[in-house]
Amino acid sequence: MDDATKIRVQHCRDCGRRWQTTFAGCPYCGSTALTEDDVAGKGRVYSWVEVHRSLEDPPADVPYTVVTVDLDAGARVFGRYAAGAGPKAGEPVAMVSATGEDGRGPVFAPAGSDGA
Amino acid sequence: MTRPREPATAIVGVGYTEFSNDSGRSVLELATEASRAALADAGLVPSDIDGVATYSMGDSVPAQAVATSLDIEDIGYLLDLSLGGQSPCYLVALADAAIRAGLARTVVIYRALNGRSGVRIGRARANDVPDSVDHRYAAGLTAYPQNIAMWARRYMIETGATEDDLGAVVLSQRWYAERNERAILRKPITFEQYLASPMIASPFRVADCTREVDGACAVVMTSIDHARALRHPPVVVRGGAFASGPRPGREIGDILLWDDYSRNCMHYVGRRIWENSGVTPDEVDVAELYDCFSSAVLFALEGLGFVGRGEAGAFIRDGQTAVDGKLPVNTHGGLLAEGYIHGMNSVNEAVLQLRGDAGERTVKGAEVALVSSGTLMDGSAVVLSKDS
Repeated sequence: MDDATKIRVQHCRDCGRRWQTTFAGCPYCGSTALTEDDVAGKGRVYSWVEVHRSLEDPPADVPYTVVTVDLDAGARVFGRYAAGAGPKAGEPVAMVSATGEDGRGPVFAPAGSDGA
Repeated sequence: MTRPREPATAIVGVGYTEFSNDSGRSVLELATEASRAALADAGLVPSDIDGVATYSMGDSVPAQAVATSLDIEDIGYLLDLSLGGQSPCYLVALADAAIRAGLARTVVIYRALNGRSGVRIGRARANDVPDSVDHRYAAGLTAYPQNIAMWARRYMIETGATEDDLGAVVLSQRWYAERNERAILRKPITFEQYLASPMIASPFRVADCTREVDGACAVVMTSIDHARALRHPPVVVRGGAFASGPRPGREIGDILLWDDYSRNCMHYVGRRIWENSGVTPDEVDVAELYDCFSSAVLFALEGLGFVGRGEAGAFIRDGQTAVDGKLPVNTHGGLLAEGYIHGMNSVNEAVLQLRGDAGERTVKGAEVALVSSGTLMDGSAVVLSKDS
């Protein structure tokens, strides 16, 4: 596994929970014994959105799909879904790159598919 | 939380500006006009008030600016919440507390924005907390419709809800908007037309998203004793609640620590509002539920306990949110169709309903109204009623 398929998260050394956004104390137990981990970008799809109209300036290429992924390592993260067909709830996915051709990411693909 | 207390305050006036696509006026002018209109509706003048409160997402003017424009001499309460759609009912509850505590006697609450010609919420980025927003934007989750759609999709996964249920919200509210001269979307809509509405961020079509407008609205609150001497029957504040679930995150769009996207703040507001008000859901005659997106109405109906889990869509499709249904909902057309005055207009509408001043869309015999605010991690609600 190389760094291109890992995601940096915060990790509580007391309760063991992990999460992505940085906090000053553990959101689950309040401990300040926090560290950072690079964890495997493997997990399951929790939810998703297909974006058909970009509201950015300049607009992003559409359509694209953003997935919420619950990593096996414990943190919930967002990413791009690489496959053409829509994701399914609970579908196993794996991170294939930090960014796609459009510079957005991390990019996830169905686990076991090409490149994942 | 505290047990319900004897009601102490009432809403005595409501005010509006025109809702338009391009007001051509400053936000301060809009805010001041709506506040003056609310005072006039109450039969009061600016020297009668000593408090002004508002909320803004960086798109409005502070309470002090309106207090100055109104030439209020004796100021005891100025409050600016830098919060979004969770604010309006929270501000009513806070003004109730401030009046009870003797901080203020009579308070104006307003929301003003050039939401169409100026800063548009649909395109706005959330608060810039780099740590928090960077990973969200990196993935392309850059605007509110996309963020809320993530919740709506999970709700659909868990409950089996479909676009039929989202569309039912849109159709139900449009009926009211047709009968509301202020509403910005007054044309009827069929389900086929709903389905033809362009997809923005699935499952949301344009028709599922709030209609941004320029405008302002305001209410005036005072003690019940004072209210009873004024020109309209008082609309009594029976109770209010603000609540957040655990781990609301770094900022308004930081949803990664929220465990269950199929339940939002209303699940937690629902645990407090009935206890705080001493009212039960069955006693509510009309509900104005925060609806920046159609799904928010489904979440609120279930979170507040009006219907069971996964039942909101069927409840609406069965006509129960229509004007002659069990619980008329968003009788102004909601933020979807009356326009996005960020939920403040939902407070105003509840007041009109309880005064019987909502014309053809008036819910006959309505005695008790619930208003809710917010559809992310934190939110608020108030119960209002006729004076007993």
